[in-house]
Amino acid sequence: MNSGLASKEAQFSRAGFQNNTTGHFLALPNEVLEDIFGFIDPIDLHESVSVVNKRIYDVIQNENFWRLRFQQRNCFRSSAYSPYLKHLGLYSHKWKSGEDMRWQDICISFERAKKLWFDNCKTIDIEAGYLTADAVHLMEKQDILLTGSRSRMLEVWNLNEPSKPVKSTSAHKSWISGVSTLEDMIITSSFDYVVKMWSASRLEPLAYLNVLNAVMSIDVRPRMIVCCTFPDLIIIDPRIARPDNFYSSPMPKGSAVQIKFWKEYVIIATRNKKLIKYDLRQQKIVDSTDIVTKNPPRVMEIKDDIAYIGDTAGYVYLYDLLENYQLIDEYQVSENAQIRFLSPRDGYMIVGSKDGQLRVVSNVKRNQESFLLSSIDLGNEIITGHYRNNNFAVVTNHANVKVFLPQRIPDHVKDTQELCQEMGMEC
Amino acid sequence: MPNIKLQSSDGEIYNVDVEIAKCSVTIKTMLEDLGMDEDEEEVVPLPNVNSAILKKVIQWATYHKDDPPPPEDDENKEKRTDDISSWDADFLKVDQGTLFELILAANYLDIKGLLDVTCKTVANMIKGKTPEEIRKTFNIKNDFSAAEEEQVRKENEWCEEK
Repeated sequence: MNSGLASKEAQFSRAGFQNNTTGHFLALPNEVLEDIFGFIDPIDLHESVSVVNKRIYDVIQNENFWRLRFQQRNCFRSSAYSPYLKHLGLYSHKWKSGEDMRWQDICISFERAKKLWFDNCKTIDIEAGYLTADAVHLMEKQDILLTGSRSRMLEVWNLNEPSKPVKSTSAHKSWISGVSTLEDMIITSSFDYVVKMWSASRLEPLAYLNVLNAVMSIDVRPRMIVCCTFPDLIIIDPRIARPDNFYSSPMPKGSAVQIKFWKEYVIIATRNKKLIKYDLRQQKIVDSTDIVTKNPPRVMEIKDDIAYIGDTAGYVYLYDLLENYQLIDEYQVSENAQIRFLSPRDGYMIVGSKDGQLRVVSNVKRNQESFLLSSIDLGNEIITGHYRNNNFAVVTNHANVKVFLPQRIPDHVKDTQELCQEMGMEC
Repeated sequence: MPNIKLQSSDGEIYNVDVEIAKCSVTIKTMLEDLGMDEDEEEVVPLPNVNSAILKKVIQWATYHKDDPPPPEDDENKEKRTDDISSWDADFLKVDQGTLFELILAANYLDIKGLLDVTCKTVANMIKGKTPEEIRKTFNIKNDFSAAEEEQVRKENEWCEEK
């Protein structure tokens, strides 16, 4: 704080503009309002406090307020440099320019993360059979979860009645490798060389395609499905449902670990440590780059033009897709346990590994070390997972699914609330 | 024990133990910078603090004179507001005008402990309230037009991440 009586006095007289009296809320100088707001939850600040009055709104919009708050609450020295934050444009003073991330976004995301994961987070457990479920998918709307397993079964679960599946069908002739959805359509892929489309409401097959090889990974976007088989990249237009209606493009050697859409491209991570970029307009591979992971990649996700790669020894690497796959940062997340589930969020990532640990890891390191915001031990090996709309599901112990629903009120809290209501009390 | 004379904006003079007065960083700095000798019969004018408020500040500082120094700001702690001591809570059972003037005085005199506890008290008056309730609580005029208010609400609505 800069003391010096002169400046304090100047502030003091400026501050009294609203009511001539110093005894009014709006007579407080901005720095004091910031002190007060420092004690208030960021969501409240945004949704209630900033709506009160224009001057208050301006104080809450000030990026410096949020930058300081972020640094103070997370022990980041103001001089500390984070390549991740640089990638987001937080040091470039381009604040409020369109889609750029702001300090307030990152600050809110962090403070929410500490609350959401995992204290008081509602969870639902589902037992999805006895053979490993390699695919799990939360649907966009309703409380519907899909699982695909080595028992060849595709099962539909209602999270409100988790004791048994709502519907199930013997979907494939071999292990199911992927389950996804496109509006009201379910898409499954399998080692039996077949990609199938289903009506989500009736769980009836709409179409199937024989893509000639076992399917390893799948991704969907409107009007397009991509998948990797052992030697090929397959592109499917789901609107035309004929068994041979797909486009196939040969891939370089090395089995694909994961395939993801990114802008007008498809990015493929391979086990032999390559990132392959396929241009959907030119219909060809435009580059194939070696990446420096210590161990073979196991999972890949893409967010904010960053490819997040989790390897087989517990490390996560961030590569800049806009800057020639430059390594942004690397994080040791587990002690030598394979990364099985990775969900990049704003400023942090949720990482599940083979040792049964779910960890919430900051993308901003502290003193050059990975910084753990929170963690939970699920007690059993994590197989895979899927994140959607602030909820996520992970498969543990081969076929048990645990769904995390932080926005819902956990049962024990709800009980107390109902009790209070019954007794006519306010909680 | 050496004393120091503090003069309020309305001319009242208070004789205060120097150690207690020094909980104000502003006074402490002034004494050090200006080299005011502690046994000199110098009067320190505080033109921004009236006698009622100065009396409260001295009362607070006297009660808290043996407190350990406040922890550094950059400690990785949630900022709690439910840890106000019962003495402070009683001390701050004052009308809003006095509370805000105490905040201004704490800010001007740079007394971190008092600033913290007064800000917490105001934060508690804001927490969990709707914008309209906050306006009512502090008698704040809504200077947004209906369209502007709608706009602010929209842009600040928490969007679920995909």
